[in-house]
Amino acid sequence: MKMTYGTAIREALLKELEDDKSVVLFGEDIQHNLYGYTDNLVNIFGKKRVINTPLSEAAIVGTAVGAAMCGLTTIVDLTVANFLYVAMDQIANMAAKTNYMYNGQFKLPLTIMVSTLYNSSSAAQHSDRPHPIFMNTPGLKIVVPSCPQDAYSLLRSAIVDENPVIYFSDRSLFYTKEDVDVNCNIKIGQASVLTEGSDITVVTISGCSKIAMDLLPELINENISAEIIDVRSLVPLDINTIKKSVRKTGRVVIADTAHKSCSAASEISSILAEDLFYDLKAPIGIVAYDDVPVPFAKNLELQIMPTKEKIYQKVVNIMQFNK
Amino acid sequence: MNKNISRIESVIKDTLKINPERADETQKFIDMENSEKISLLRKMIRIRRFEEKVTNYKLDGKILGPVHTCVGQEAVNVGVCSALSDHDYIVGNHRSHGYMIAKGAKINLLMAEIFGKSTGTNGGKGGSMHVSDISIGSLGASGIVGSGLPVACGAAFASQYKNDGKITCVFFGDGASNEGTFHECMNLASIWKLPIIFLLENNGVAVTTLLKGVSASLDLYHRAQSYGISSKQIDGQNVEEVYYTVKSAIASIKEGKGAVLIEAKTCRFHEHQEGHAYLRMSDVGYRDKQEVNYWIANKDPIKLFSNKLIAEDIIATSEIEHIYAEENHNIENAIAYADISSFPSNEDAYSNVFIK
Ligand SMILES: Cc1ncc(C[n+]2csc(CCOP(=O)(O)OP(=O)(O)O)c2C)c(N)n1
Repeated sequence: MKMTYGTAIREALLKELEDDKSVVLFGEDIQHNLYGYTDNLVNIFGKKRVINTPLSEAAIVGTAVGAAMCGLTTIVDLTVANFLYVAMDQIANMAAKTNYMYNGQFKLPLTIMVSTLYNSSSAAQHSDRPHPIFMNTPGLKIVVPSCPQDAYSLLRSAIVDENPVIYFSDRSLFYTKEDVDVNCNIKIGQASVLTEGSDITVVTISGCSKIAMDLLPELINENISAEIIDVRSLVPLDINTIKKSVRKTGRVVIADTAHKSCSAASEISSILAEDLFYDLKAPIGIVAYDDVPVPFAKNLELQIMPTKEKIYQKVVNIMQFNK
Repeated sequence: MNKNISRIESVIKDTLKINPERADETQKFIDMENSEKISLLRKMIRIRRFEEKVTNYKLDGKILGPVHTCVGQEAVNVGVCSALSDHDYIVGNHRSHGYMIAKGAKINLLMAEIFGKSTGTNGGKGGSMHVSDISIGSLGASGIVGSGLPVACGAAFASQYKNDGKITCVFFGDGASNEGTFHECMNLASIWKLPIIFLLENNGVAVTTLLKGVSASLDLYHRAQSYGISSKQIDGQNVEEVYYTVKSAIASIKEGKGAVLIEAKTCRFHEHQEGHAYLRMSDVGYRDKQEVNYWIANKDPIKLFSNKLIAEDIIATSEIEHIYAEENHNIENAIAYADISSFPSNEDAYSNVFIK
């Protein structure tokens, strides 16, 4: 079935609500969602299961934690990723630590959904891609789907997972469309090799996957055989798939939508430097947002963000490096 | 001297200004069995003895990390948890031993947890601030002030959704009532008519900050009104009053009237935490020592209730002594159990980050 990334999210929610009566969906404006990813769900499942919440992010996330501890499967839509910060205590101190601190006495089937809104003239407070913050918070799984199929399958996996999962959808991908196999199950923790190659590995996170794939014809033109790997989830991180590729190519560029400092890219880079030092033929390249808050003016955001041109340039530079 | 006492008495009166509504409540449930009353007394004694031991072991360095005891506040824990049924949920905060014991926790496992042993309720991964045992309905204890309230709302939501008839009670202090979560959760519980009791233990102080310095009103139960939640202020040193009020709250929730806030006025007899660093704080003058001593002498919940039961001929002094002896023995056993238990294995550090 052909569907957009946004529709894929809706279809996954629909399927899980259908499959299991203990699934409930909390969210701000969830009954009449602006982007369509909850269209009609309230009419199908009722207000008892598709629940409009007050603007109380901490209370909502905590409520979803408590309800999950007591046998419900909870999904919370906080809409924009920046709003995670308002619920930070409930996410970092409660959701992330419940399994560990109480030594596995509870299950915590909780999914927190947010969208990242970069490159959309949303300015500093509505443009963050804060997945690295949560990578440094043990106890949370983190998924970053980059195509409709992954959006669909990973959301279903996140909902049924008995651990807290933060699901970062990428609003820049919302209207990409492709065939989605609704029976395809993707486990959290499996990277996807988007295209095989032998010269250089390009590891991509979230929206960077699409940018890298768009670049492919130009790389082929330059006689560069790139292996593009979409991580799909950051916790757990399928580092083995990445390592296998880098052992083969000896060169790697990592493209991340996050700010560069302590990013997913810098973490992957650090693992590769630690574990594959002798396999590397060149320094590791990173393309990410520069370390400044996201500016409003279009040209300014383009200046600091990972673009097709920047990834291309980085790949070419790393290819040209000789020891 | 006399002048001083009368000043303190007026302070006490102020702090314990009793809401007139409360008198009616106690009349509704005059049928508590004598054995049940004795059981309330026994639980308070058990908690007191437990906490005194913990206090000493913390001073000796046998217990590591932050330890908050509830000495002086036992009537709140016992009154509430005795009124709840076994399957009802409780959510706690940093001062977490008392209601765990009152709800029926095995003190051996509790003590082992506080000692950081593998046999503890949390396998040694939680410690004093996070003791939890789902088998007695405990949904954990959070050391982040105010953070248990949302989780409790979630438990209550689940009960409402499943229609399982359970009530959730969340314990928190006057300090927590200034956190945003308190206000968010009062609103949420009200609009969703959640089966939840907000149990505010108002001991008038948060670490060293007196409530009167950080709240315009000392009567925190008033705050519930603006959220459309019914609320009561009660004498937290009177275990029967706590018990009856919670029974009445449960009845009201079961009638479908929604969440209730109970503000129990009480007193923290010890410092905020146990240990040498905190003992020092008792001399820095953040609160009136004479006032605390007055509470200890005149408002000790165990003494008050013992005297009442003796006066009503429900129990003899010798029987009370016997209870003390038995509970001492139980606590000694718990200490011995914790002592001989092994620490978790190093590999345990990596388990249960995620549920498999
Ligand atoms: C969010 C947060 N702020 C500060 C602290 C440090 N702290 C621990 S307990 C406490 C006082 C809490 O007072 P109250 O809620 O009245 O409970 P009490 O200790 O009196 O039982 C403080 C400030 C904390 N643990 N969490």
